[in-house]
Amino acid sequence: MDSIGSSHIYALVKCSQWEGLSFEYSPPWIFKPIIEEGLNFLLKTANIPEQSEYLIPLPSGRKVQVSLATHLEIEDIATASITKIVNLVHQGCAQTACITSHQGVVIVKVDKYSFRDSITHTKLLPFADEMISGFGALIATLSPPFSRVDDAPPNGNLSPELMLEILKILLLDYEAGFKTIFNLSCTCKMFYTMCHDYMVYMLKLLCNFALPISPSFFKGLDLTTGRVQLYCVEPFNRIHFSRIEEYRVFVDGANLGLRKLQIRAAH
Amino acid sequence: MGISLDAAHVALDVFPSVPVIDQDSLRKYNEMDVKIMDAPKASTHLKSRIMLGLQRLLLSYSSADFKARML
Repeated sequence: MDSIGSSHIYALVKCSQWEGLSFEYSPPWIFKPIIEEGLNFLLKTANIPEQSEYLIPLPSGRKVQVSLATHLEIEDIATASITKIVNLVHQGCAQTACITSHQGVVIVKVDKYSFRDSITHTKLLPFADEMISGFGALIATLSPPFSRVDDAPPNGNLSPELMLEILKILLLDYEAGFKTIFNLSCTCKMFYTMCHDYMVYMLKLLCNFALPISPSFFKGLDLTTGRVQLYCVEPFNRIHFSRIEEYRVFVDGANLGLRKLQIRAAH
Repeated sequence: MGISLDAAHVALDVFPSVPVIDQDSLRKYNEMDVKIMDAPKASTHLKSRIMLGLQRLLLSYSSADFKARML
């Protein structure tokens, strides 16, 4: 593909990648400009990759391969291009690729993780059809709507679907919800940090704060019974109560033979 | 008065020629277990709408040469 052709494809790819877009306020023009400055700028000044294969990073950390081609409307050429992508993927790896020509795009997914290689691809999705299927496929592949959420490890008992419902309720509540979102987002990060800093896990989940009644009493959750109760913790003192649980203390994973920590459930 | 342009000034190769088809690739493709999937569709989210608009803008401001190649 010539340099003009590859520039246009690159511009098309960049217009399909949300993470690469940014917005700046521009006051209205008194006279309508003849050309769109931004797109002109993109086509003339962008650092266009010279290679026919390049990678576009996704927010999740994955990368989508863009492969330039011509004459994809000829089935054998499209087939050869797909095989070329499959050959480029190493064993034990997975790759999504967009084989792009002026006419359209073929989305290819290669998975060589499993015992048997898995290869799926679309037909040629034209850019110029009424359904704009090529444009839509590029956006869906280069800007997946929930790429961060999809790749986030499952945490806790709240499913992403449930969290999304909470988010929607907050967003659709016109004023208070929107104002809460920012706080909640920041709070969640802070809360995550606080949980690490202010909770103690020892087969029980103990609050780091002593209760006002005594510096030895701490509230906690017994993970085996699910009961929230008070615990008396006297670090390394030899206390003689019934229902005492003892814990060995490890330093960097090594048991140094220190005296055991004793915790007593208070009634 | 009509003047014939020299071949050096005439862009005769605007449209790329058909590449040579690698028969070995075709054979390998036929040996693979390949599935055809549906076209991934852009979501109805605001972000997708903005990007679709950008793509259409790009197409409308593209050169006639580029548009001709797309069809």
